[in-house]
Formats: sequence, structure tokens, C-alpha cells
Amino acid sequence: MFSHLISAMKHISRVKKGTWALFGFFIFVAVSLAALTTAVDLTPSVGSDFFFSSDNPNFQYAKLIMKLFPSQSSQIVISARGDLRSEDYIKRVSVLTDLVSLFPGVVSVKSLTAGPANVKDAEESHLWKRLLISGDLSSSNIIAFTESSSPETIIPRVETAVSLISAPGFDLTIAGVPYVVEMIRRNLSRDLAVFSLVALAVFGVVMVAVFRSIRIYLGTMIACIEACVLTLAVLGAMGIKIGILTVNLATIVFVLTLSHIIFITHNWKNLQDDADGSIEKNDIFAAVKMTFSASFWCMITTLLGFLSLLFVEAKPLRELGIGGSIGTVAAILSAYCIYPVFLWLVSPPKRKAARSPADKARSFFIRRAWIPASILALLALASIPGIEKLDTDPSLFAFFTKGSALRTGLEYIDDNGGSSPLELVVRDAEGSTLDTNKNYKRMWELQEALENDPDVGSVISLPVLMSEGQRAPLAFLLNWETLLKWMEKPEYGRISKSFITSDHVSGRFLIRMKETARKGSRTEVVEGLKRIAIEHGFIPEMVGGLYLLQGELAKLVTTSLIFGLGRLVLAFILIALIVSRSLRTSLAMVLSLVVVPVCVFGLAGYARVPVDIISAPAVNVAIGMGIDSMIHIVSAVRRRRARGIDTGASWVQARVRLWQPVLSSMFIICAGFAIFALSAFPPTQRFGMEIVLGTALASLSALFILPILATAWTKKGGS
Amino acid sequence: MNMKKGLTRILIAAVALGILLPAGLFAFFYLKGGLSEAIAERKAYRSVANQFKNASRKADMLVTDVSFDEHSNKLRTSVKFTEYTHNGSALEPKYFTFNGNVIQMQSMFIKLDGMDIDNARSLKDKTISLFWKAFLPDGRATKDLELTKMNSIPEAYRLKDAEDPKEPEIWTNIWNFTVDPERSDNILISNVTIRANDRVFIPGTIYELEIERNGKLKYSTRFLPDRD
Repeated sequence: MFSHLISAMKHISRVKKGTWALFGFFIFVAVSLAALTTAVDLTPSVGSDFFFSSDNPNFQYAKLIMKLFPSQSSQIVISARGDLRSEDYIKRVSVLTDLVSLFPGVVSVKSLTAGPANVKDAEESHLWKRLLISGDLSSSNIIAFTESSSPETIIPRVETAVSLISAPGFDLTIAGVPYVVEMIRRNLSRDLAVFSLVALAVFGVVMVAVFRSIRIYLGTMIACIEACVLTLAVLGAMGIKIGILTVNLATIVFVLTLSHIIFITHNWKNLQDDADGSIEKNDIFAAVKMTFSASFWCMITTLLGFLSLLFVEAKPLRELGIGGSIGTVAAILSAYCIYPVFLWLVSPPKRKAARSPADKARSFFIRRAWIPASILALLALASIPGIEKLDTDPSLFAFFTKGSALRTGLEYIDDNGGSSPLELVVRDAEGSTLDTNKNYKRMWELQEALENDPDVGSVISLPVLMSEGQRAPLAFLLNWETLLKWMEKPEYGRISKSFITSDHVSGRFLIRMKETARKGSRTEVVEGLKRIAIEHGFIPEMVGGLYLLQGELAKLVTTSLIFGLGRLVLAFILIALIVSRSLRTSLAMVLSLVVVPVCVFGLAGYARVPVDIISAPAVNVAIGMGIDSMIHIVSAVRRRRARGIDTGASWVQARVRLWQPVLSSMFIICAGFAIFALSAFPPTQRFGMEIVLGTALASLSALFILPILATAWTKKGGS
Repeated sequence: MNMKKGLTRILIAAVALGILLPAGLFAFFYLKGGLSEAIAERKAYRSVANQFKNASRKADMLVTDVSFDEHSNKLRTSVKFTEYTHNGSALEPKYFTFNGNVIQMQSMFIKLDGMDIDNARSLKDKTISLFWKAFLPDGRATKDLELTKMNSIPEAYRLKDAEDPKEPEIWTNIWNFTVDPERSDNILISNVTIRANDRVFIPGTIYELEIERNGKLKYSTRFLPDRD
């Protein structure tokens, strides 16, 4: 026993110092990951208010409407398809209604068995007909009014109830804002767990294939993971939760770190090849020094790109801006503080005897580079008209796969009464109160005009509610004002207060909007509805609801991206000037970079791929990658120009030296993000595929378009 | 030798960053949530709260011009709207022109009692009176004017002598408190409809608007005194 221990100790003492260092790093990574998962909540948090920050005026108006017209605005809609007049159907609706009303967080439930006396009564009622029955009488709704509690707790219970009670001839579909929000959250959580890990694994496998060194692979992984840990820890310390965009932050930071590492490694390998006495063998410091300047400017451009998002209104983009800024700094710190230690542990590569691949590359860049450059330029030109076709205001259904049971169900509910809530508050243009018989008629006219709009599914408003009151025995004897006062009494649940203010000046129309029928943007549709109100002698006072918030968000995302990209390009011009010290090269860099958004957005427009809030920042990430390649190439050109090599030859040599890291970096990033295409959540797919396309275009543009633009109208140099 | 020197530098930088970065972050967050922050916030709240009074607030709407637009066949009325602070000093006037003989004014009265902040005592019994919106009915050209924008610092309550960097943040808190659906009785929206006598607004008429101490908006009419 004792001899075994001594032998083990001897064995341990023989272990190389490098192995101890590796062991130390593994413990470091394990401890930091454990600390991160313990201290920071990494579960994506998606609430129904995830669109805006709390200080956004649109969001504040939506809250003010909720305050002035108190009601349970959060609804889970369960649509039950079947024979509405069969006994079994009614029995099942009754059981489901009773079951759902028992769930914590559910305030009340309305259905054919909780509200109207029976199906015939519901058909005859203006209120129940609109609220509960589909136009073709093929289904009815069970509507659960919920408190503002988290959908995470209610939805699983509703799903269980639905699966228990559904049967052949009684098809149940769930919809409503809490359900959609919960579905987005679940998809994001699953994607975070599955695809981020798979992407990391793919990055690693491709790294091993490219560099053929397990230690380089380990160093890369440790540096990248540490950058992610540092970013998420700082975000956690700042109290920023993982949201719909920051959910992909770990992958973005991983890629940012990877980009620095690839160029350090290639420069280090190339230095070994060039070792001619002036540079010491395995001089990691020389490689780090050579790469750092370009990496620093890459970091600055990426940082500026993310910082530009801090000034936009859309809260998810602002959070991505904060997270990305922290991640950019964490990436360069990790790449330059952790990774070089691993290079030191690696045996320097053997010098290459043959130079044939470099000669082939030289020959290609001199003679045939115009072919890919022309293809890229033609692609960019052809993509321009596609930008106009880009859908920047996609429907909620675009978040779910076409043809899936979930989306089909949502579309059915959308067709039968609408799926997205919109609230319109109006007042009489002449300033009179709404409690007169004359105004009752006018409000009915407005109600019908709104219902006739093709984008409107159903409308519930004060006249609809009052018509229900008028169905009570002897209610016809009462005038509108008296009936209204009755319905404001506590014994009637102060129901009318949900639709008229206490001074009777303002009235609320609760509209369920259709998403599938929409031709224009949501904000255009809302403007159309406001015009209808004005034409009927009312002033639209306030508008709120998810439909409008989504429309405003789509507008904000578009403007934020345009201004974000614009600011990025402006900042990039400045940095390009610093890096290249040449106006022509700077302009060439900017023009080469513009190819990326033009092609990505243009092709997305042709393919009818919508730009949603989750996939929108993909182009910015891809541009960040493209900028990296360009800055490294231009830095290499400048170094050669400083050695007295002429412009043309400098560009050829820089490309011969850097085509491998540029393409390896492109290949690794594309391979990692291509995994996102396997997600069942379309926004994640779009995010991944747009980064793949953008990164490929950016790298190819850096290799082929940039040199042609930068060397145009200069004397041809020797090679 | 060169390599060793380089490696040493890298390791020193790594160790220095490893120590300095967490220390810096810790210091930053400690100070952010710490004592100095609390003192600054308390001071700022006190300065902002001093602007709030539990008293009425006034505004004038002077009809400056009425003309007949032959093109649209409508009367065009121009008005000068001047708000006053609680202590009676006039704010920068706003001018607007509208068609028709009706204008609707809307006010917002916010009771700050119960605002859930550290030094809520400074806001106890304090109220904010805002002239919020004007509605100008004009057929298809109907519009509403936001006299006070949501989530902004109202001019009547902006700190004038000593601006505080915390002022916008405090107002964000106030607006969040105002629109919080959980609080049912902290705001009162009040409306008045001003109609022109004899179907036409008469230049020189002053409509005196007042948000009373209970939050109700009312108005009275007087005329500009004749100049001798």
C-alpha cells in the first residue's frame, strides 16, 4: 500500500510543469463556471413587457390605460373545436372551465358554461358572441383572465388540463399573450442549453482540425469560456437578466475571443516559419506584439458597435449593447492574458520546407482574384432591390415554425376573432360625455366600423357591454345613463369601469387584431384605426396593447439598426484611417464592408425571411467579424509598406500570409453558427444563418474586394 | 531570453488584470450601491420634492387671433398658452392654431403619498399638477397636443437654480409610480371643454385654467383690459 503511494508520488513528480499549468487552468475554469452558475441566474427571462424599457412612453401609455380602465387584461384563450350543440362538448367545456378556474393566478374564466345561459343565449348576445364564439360556429373559447403573475407557473397547468380533456371531436388550442411569451421563453432556454453547447463543441472540433494541436484547442476553449464567464458575471453583478437577445451573448463573446486567438496563432506559426535569427524560436511575445495592434483596433470597432446600441430605445438591443461591450473587453483580455500561456506549452511547429501552397496562393491572388471579387460585386448589386422587400415587422407567428401544431393553432385563433390585443381610448370630439343615448349610438357605429376593418378580429367596448345589460328583464325601461350607473355599482363588479372613465369622458375599445390578414406595418394599421375613430367624430386619446408595442418595437429595431450600422460605419472610417493611414484604403474598407449588410438584407428580402428582434443583430456581429479580417490585412499591408515593399506587392503578400487565418476564422465561425439552423425556433435559425452568410461575405470581401478597391488606380507592383 | 521576458510580461499583465479587474468592479458596485450614492439621492429627492406643493396651479390661454380661411372655409383660432409655476412665475408660452370653436384641455394630478422610495417622507402630502394635453377637434385634421410629455421633466417642476444629475432618474421613478396599475388612486385625470361664445373665439379673451388642490381642472373667462 505504502509502496504504491510512493510510486504514485514519484510518478506525479515526473509530470511536466506544463501539465501542472493545464491542470491549474482546468480547476480555474471549473471553479469560475461553478461560481457563475451558483451566483448568476442564467435562465432566460422573457416577460410580456420584454419589448420596452419601463421608461418608454409607449409602454407607459399602455400601463396608464390599464390603470384608468382597470381590468384583467392578461388572457389565456383556449379554443375548443367541435360540435357546439352536443352534450359531450358542453360537458367538456364545463369541466375545463372549472379546472382552469382552480389554478392559482387565474382570476376568472369565461366560457359557454360560465357567462351566457347556453349556446343559444351566447349567439344572441352581442358580448358573448364576440368574446366566445367563432364566426362559423365551429369553435368556442374558454378565456382565463389572469393576474400579472408569471406565465411559467400557469401555462404548464393549462397544458396539462388541455391534454387531459381534449378528445376526438373536441380539439383544444391554446393562445394568448402569456402562452406566446412562455413558448418563446421555452424555445430560448432550450436553444441556449442545446445549441450554445453544440456550437462550442463544433468550434472546438474545427479548431483541432485547423491547428492540429490539442493544447491549442484546450487553450482556446479555456480562454473563450473565461471570456464568457467574465461577461456573464459582470452582467449578473449589474443586475441585468438574460433576455431574448443576451441569450446568445455567450456564443458571440466566444466568437469574439476566437477571432483574436486565430490571428495570434497564425502569426505565431508564421513567425516560426520566418525564424531567421532575428526572431527567437517560439517567441510568443513577438507574435502577441505583432497581432495586438490590429486586435486592439478590432476591439475598438466592435466596442463602438455595441456601445452605439446603448442609445437606442428598444430594451433588448440596449441590453445586448451593454453585454456586448463587456464581452468585447472580456474577449481581448482573455485572448491576450490566458491563451499565450498555452502557446508557450506547445512545441513550436517545424519550419516548412516547401513553399508551394504559398506560391499557389500568390498566383491565385495575382491572376484570379478578380473572379470571386466580380461574383461578390454582382451579388451585392443584385441584392439591392431585395432590401425594399425586407419584412421588418413580422407577425408573432414568425416566431414559430410554419406548419407546426403550435403555429397552426395560433393561426386558427387569429382567423377566428384575432390574436393580438390592441386598446384604443377615445373621447367625443365635441367634448360631451359618452353617457348619452346619442353617443351610445355613435359608439355602436364606431364599433361596427372598427369590426369591418380586415385587420380587426373582434371588438369589445362599452356599447357591447351595455347591450348585454339591456338584455336583463325590464332594462329597456332604463336610459343609457342610468344603466351605466348601475353597471358601475360593486354588485355588478363595476364592469363598466373597464370601458369608461369615472367622468364618462373617455371610452376604451378592446380590439383583438388579426396578424395573418395584415398587409402593412402594425403602426400603419393602428393609424388607420385612429382615422376611423376620427371619421366617426371621436378623438383617439391613447393607444396601447401588445399589437402596438410590437409595431413600435419593429420600427425601433429598424431605425436602431440603421443608425447603429451608420454610427458603426462612421466609427469604422476613423479607425480605418488610423490603421491604414490612407484615405483611399479607408474608403475601400468601408465599401467592402457595406457589401455585408446589402447582401444579407437583400437576400433575406428576396427569400421573404423576416428580420425579427432576435435575428436583427446578426448582421452587426457578422460585420464585427469582417472588420477584424480587414484590419488584420490592412495592418499587414502597412507593415510591408514600411519595409519599402510597393503597394501591389504588399497587398498580395499580406493576403498570401493572411488568407489562411481569415478563411479558418470564417470556417470556424460558420461551422459553429450553422448549428443554429437545426433549432426548431425560427428566430434562432435566422440568427445563425444570417451570421453564417454575413461572416462568409465579410471574409471574402476582405480578401477579394478590399485589395482591388484599395489598389485601383495605383501602379502595379511586382510580386 | 527575449521569450522569457515576453512571457514574464504576459504573466504579470494577466495577474495584474486578474487582481485589478475584480477589485475595480467590486469598488465600483460597492460605491454605486453605497453610502455616497444614498446621500446624493436623498439630497436630490429633497431638491426635487421642494418643487412640489399641495396647492393649485394656473395657466392662461389667450386668444390672439381669429381669421377666416377662405380655402378651407373654416375659422382659424390662434392661442397663446402660458403655464405658471406654483409661485406664480410664467413659463415659456406655447402657441398653437386650430380650426373650430371647441378646445378640450386635460390635466393630470399626481398624489405622491405612498411612493415607495427610501426617503418617501420628503414626498408625503406632496402633489404634482400638470397641464397634460390639449385636444383640437378639426374633422380629419383632429389632433392632440402633449403639453407635458410622458416621462419627461415637466418645465414647471424642473430645478432651475442647481441642476442635479439625478433629476431625470427621479422623474423616471415618479412616472413609473404614476402609471403603476397596482396603485389605483394616486392620479386624477380631469378634463374641461372650452367652447367659444357665439360660435367664434374672440381675440383678447383669456381663459384662466386652474388645477385645484383636489386635482380638478376648472376654467374661468376674462378679457384683456383695454389699453388707454
